[in-house]
Amino acid sequence: MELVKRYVSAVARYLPEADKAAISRELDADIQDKIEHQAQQQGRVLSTDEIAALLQQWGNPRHVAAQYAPAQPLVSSELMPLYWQVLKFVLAVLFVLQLLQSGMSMLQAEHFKLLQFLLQLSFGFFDEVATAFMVVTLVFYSAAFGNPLAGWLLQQNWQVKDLPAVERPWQQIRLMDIFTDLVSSGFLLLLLWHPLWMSADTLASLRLVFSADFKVFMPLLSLLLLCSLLFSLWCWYRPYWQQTTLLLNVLQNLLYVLAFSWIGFLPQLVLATNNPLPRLLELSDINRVLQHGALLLACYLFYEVLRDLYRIRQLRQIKTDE
Amino acid sequence: MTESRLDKMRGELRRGVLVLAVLASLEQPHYGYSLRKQLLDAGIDIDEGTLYPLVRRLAEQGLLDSEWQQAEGRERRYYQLSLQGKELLQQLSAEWQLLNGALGNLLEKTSWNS
Repeated sequence: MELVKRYVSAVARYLPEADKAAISRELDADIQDKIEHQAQQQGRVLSTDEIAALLQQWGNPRHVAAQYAPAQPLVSSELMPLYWQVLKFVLAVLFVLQLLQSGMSMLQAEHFKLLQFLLQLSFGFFDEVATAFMVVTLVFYSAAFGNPLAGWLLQQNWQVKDLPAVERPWQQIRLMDIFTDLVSSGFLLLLLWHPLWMSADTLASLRLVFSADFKVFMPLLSLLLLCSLLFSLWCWYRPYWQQTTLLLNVLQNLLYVLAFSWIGFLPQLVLATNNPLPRLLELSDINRVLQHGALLLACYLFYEVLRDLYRIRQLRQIKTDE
Repeated sequence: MTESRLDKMRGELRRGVLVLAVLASLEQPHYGYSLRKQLLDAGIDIDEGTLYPLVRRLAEQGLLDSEWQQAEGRERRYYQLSLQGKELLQQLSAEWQLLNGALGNLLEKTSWNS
């Protein structure tokens, strides 16, 4: 019977403290019953090897314990798709931010070393990933205890009538598009307001600053970018193109077209500081590239305006046909 | 269909009705091993690793009453349907009859059965 004690003790090791004694007592009684009945069938006392075989058949102690006290998953199965979505989104944002941070460090360095850049990027990213993973998982874990957060995450108060009418495949906004818009707006905001988050040393080592002509336009551009951020978050919450959201997007993109066209025709976007520019890089070339970039962006956004106007027309046509 | 897939689906099918089988068997008091034997005699083979934790869970939910008794020099935990368990058994039995009848009709119409 020594083997039975060892087996029950091995199972108890994986049981929660509160149930350990009760389950062990019951398991021991169940095993003893089986041994007794087998002994009765065979008309003799079971050998140690036979008891060992019986316990082997009963199952791995860890599995047996899991049957009695199934482990509580950190994230419930119904929240799992949302959990992955949020996790991927957060990790992507962190990667972009780390890329920006590592890129800034490299720009200040005397020489560009690819290996150093990649190592800094990897270690910095994994360091932040660990924290982000823990925070996101804890939020979803707390939702498993039936608090209002779970109801909100699962949108339990949904109504069929609130579901958007999706007539065309393009009406579903892809997560990647939302992410790209969010990151672009966030990146530009960080770039515009870099004096707020950069250290004094970093600021002093910068080789370029925005021109006075450009700075005049910064508050308006910042406001527009902030609105874009909010709009992207709204799209993340309701990822469907409807007439209203398309109209808002048209308005937003039209303002960007005007802004970037205006930026494209400024005489100078950036000025050199006292810190020397890297060799083979002229201030006039940098300004030309930035101006052309702004104009190209304006052209692309104008295409999006036309595309969205066409889509609005399509939606209106569907509504008329109904 | 591969053997493993058949086993998996068979397991899923049986898992659903296991509670009903256990509740129906516990109108009379049973301890773990005697319950398993009763089910086995009725043609339902459930391994110990599934049956005993299930019985324990049903007891925790208040569907079974339990009592430790000394017998043949050893202790055994006897289980029996509680009042709540009896009510649930009636409801589940009615549901099972309904489902069984409907499923029987469907299966009768299958090509290999006609």
